[in-house]
Amino acid sequence: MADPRSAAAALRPHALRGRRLWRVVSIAAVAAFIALIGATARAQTGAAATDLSFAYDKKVARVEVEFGKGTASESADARQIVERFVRPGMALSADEVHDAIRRLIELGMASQVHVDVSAEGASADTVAVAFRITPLIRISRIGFEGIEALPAEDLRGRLTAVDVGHRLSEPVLATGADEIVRYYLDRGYFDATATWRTVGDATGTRAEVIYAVRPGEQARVSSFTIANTGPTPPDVMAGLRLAPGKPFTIGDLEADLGAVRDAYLRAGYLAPDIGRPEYVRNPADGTVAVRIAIDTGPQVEVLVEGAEFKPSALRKLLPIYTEGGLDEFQLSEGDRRLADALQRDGYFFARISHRLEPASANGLRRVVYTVDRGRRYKVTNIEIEGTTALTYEDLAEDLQSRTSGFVILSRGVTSRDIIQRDGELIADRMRAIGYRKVAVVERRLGVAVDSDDLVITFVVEEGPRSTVAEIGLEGNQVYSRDELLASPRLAPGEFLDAGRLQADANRITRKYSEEGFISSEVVARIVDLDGDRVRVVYGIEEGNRAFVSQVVIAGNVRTREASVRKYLEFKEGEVMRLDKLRLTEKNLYDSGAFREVLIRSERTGTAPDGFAELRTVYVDLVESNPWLLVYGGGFDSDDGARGILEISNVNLFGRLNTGAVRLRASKRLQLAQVSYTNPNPFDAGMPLLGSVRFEREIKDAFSLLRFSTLLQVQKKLKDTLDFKQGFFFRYNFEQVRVFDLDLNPSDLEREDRPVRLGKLSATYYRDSRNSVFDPDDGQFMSVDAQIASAALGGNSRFIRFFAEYQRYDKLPKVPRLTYAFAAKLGSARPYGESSDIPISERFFSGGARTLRGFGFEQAGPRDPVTNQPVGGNVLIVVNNELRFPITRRIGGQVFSDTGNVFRNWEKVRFSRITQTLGAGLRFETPVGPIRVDAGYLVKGPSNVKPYAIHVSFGLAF
Amino acid sequence: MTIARVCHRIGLVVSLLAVLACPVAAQKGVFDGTVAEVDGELILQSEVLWNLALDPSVAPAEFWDPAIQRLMLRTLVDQRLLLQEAAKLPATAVTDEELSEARDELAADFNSADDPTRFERRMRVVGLTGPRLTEILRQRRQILKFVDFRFRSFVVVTEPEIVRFFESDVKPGLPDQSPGAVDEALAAKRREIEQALIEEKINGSIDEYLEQARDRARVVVFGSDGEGGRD
Repeated sequence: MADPRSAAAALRPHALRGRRLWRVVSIAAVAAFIALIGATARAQTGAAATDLSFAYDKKVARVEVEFGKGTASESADARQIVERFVRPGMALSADEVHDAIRRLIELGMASQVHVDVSAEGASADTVAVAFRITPLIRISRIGFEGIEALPAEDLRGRLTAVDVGHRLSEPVLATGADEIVRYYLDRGYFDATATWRTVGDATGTRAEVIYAVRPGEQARVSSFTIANTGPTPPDVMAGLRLAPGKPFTIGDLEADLGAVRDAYLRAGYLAPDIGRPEYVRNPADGTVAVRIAIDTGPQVEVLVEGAEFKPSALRKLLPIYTEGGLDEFQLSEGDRRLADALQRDGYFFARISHRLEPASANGLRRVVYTVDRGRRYKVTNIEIEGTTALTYEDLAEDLQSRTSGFVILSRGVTSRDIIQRDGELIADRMRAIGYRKVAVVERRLGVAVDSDDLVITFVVEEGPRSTVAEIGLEGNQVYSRDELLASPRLAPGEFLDAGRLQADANRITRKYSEEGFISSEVVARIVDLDGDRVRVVYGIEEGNRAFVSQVVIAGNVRTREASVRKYLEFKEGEVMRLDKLRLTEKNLYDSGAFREVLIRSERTGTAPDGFAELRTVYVDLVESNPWLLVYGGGFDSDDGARGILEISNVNLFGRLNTGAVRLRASKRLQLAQVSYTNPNPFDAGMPLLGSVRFEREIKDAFSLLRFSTLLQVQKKLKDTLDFKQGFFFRYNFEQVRVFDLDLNPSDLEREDRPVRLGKLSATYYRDSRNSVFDPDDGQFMSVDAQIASAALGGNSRFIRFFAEYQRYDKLPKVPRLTYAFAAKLGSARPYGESSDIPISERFFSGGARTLRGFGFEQAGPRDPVTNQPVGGNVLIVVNNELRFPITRRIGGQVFSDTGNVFRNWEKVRFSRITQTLGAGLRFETPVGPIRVDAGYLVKGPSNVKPYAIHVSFGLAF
Repeated sequence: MTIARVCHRIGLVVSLLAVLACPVAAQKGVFDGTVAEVDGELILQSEVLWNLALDPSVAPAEFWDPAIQRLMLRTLVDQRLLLQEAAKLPATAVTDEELSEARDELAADFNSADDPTRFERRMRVVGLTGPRLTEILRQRRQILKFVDFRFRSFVVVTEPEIVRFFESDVKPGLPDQSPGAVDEALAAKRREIEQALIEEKINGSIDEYLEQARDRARVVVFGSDGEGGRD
């Protein structure tokens, strides 16, 4: 055995070396550890400091999904999404990970996603993938503190990134704070600050944002200086908003900049170079000094050769006068505006050019517009040749070229550009009905030698017309072809028509969306076959069916949640339908209680079948001020001047009920009314109205005082933008006293004074007019039946019937004309112990809205002694009216009113039907049309004036 | 056991740990994730890497350099702003032929006779697939078409500008300053100067446009911990 001491001695140098070596290794190990810690820290704080290229195509050993603060169910849903793209056993692909992240974001499950990868296995030949998902939180409400100086509405409008329903994140909130501070800066609050805090709700997916604002003091102007290199117009400083001592705002600075520019332009310096305004703040005293540097530029003269324009017209037309500047763009814009003005006067093909002359000896510059007007024309006819599929009348509304009107001052409209665009429109419309190879080969202008008539002719080469050979569906799995294309608008064998094609595609989409397939898409494409035959294919992406799993209502501070739920057109557990969501939004807006209503849904799970989606519907509300004050005035020749005042609360007791007090006064009618409306008292979708009213009405023959109470329910059968239909059911109790009689007392029954009426009535209505105020299409009909009975609390008994029908049509060959028709039929009959209808309940007619040859309520039977109208039990009125435009704001109408009021049916005679012919004008105003009608009785009674002139707001019917 | 031996054993354990731990620590990190948002549209880290791989001036070792990634992210944000506008115009639609041409041009920037597969290798390093490359090229072409439509069409270089450029930048360097030679040089360089001025004006217009677009848009750059900052 060797001597251990010898062995140790032999090893000693190695041991020494070894000690040094171990020391080196130890030091190296510590250094490596420090480097390791550093590298790990960098990996945690910096984006991908590590080269992870090793991981591509490595087998995935396991996948972890960490879903923020979500529930187990949310985590499971997130895992399900992730595992569609990344699963254990598959090769790791950057593409699939990328798509998984995008899918999580698109589904609204995540606001941010990070995916970590780490090598696993002894030889690092597999990888572990971890998805870290930050759930999406949305903003449910935005509040402000400390903004007493300025209105919250203004601030809310300035926030671009922060809004109810938007994604919540720190950067978004910081952006909002920046925008608030900038808002205050613009108003001179240079020391403004804004901080925020958020308050999450129980679901963890909604949060309220509250901005606390400290505006500070508003700066004031210390001086306003214009540093000018040339002459200064004398009035340049007059009327400036930023006078010394005034508060400073950017808005006022911009306004003053405009005022300064206008002063230079007025003085003839049409090309001033106005520098960017500078404002310097003095923090010591909180003032701002404003300075603008201006180079006056030359005086400029503008001449127009070849055409006469009034100086005032040129000042309005040419941008050089309104904005200044001698650059090419401004001068060319002047060419265009002069051409427009000449075209309006019939010089459709005028040519304009301009030149800018060099400065003269005194520095004056001149801009000269040269006009070649060409001939003056009147467009008398527009024709389309080469096809019978479309005529000018079919396209008249859409073509920009117009023929001259029959009223004065109209030469029609056209120009070279307009004719070019109209040709393209004609070709587009032909293509839409199947002529896919159509061409407008010529745009011909025909002029008469001896007049200024111009005929525009578009010559069309139709080409072949495509026929639908077959119709196919792709991608439909839930519904069969028969279910989707039961009665198509476009069938095989018919000509291809883009409108009908789209209508069928929309119908298929609607079928899916009504059954909960909210993300379905239908795209129609055309496949060319032999000859002119095509195959139409509807490509369908069905998506998943969605169910409403939960409804969350947020933002209601004053309003009870139960009251909001009454407005919902959908319930938990039902199939989700987007049209129901939209209808709910409309209903909530219509209540008047909310300024903003945002309804959106988010996927929150999968149905047990594994295919359908479960979605939570969020109803985010911003309540408006419930108090509403309405006031106004008007005038018409029947009623004289009138005023109205109404105070209402559209959200009484937070139950979305409405209470209102209304006062109205005019020469003939004064009333006071208190009403209460409950939009859905019985959960039956039937609004309830109760009101108490006191009115005083003055007629020619008598006056009356009426006290009435009303209870009304409405049943809506259909209520869309285009069509309304339903019923009203009413109970009325009234007390009526007639006084100031100008009648033969024998005309009045004892029941006339005083009268107690207990009435039940039902009204059916149907309205398809395209506008309530100025319809030119559609129909309106209402039928009202009423019974007054002692059993209902009255002392008068009668049955009353009233029907009304209105219809509006555009004339086929002359689309700018509207034909309006109205008919009214009323009939009343006493029964039982009553021998007549109380005078207050009889029909009266005559005036601006019925028989316009008569004054107000002057038609019908009259008192033989006093000659005052006494009304009747039968009313027949038929109105025919033709409405036409004269200028953009003035229109006209010619009309014929036929009918009368009769004592009863026994007195109805054809010879007593009156006939009025008349005409009138209407003027568009910001508050609606004012109408003047003059009617002449060509057939009427001899004991009334044969004509009447009426002035009123709105149309006759 | 002596203190020295204990220290040695500790050192051995530490160094072993360091040796064992380092490869594991070096093979772990953020593979992909959301890095920025432009008007609601997200940019992922994978897109940053893919675009770096398509830049011939960036070496593969620099793909994961945070500073270089930040520069590329700024470029992608600008590209996204341009793309959002370009997508509104039907004239910027890209055909299959244009895509094929773009791919060939790009490959030619990397490949050479000596190394014909360099481009494919770079793509593999960052996991960039063919369809994804096609999509990136489509977006780039769309942006180029938008730039041509929006900026190039409106650029006009006037004669005084050409002459001014020639006088200040080219003429001082001419060996022969005689009038005849100067005129000849101007004629010879005119087209080149005009092109350079056009590109300069286009770049200026794009910069101005992007500055305004960035002000209008909501651009958020996230950190890896989810916290973001305004760009």
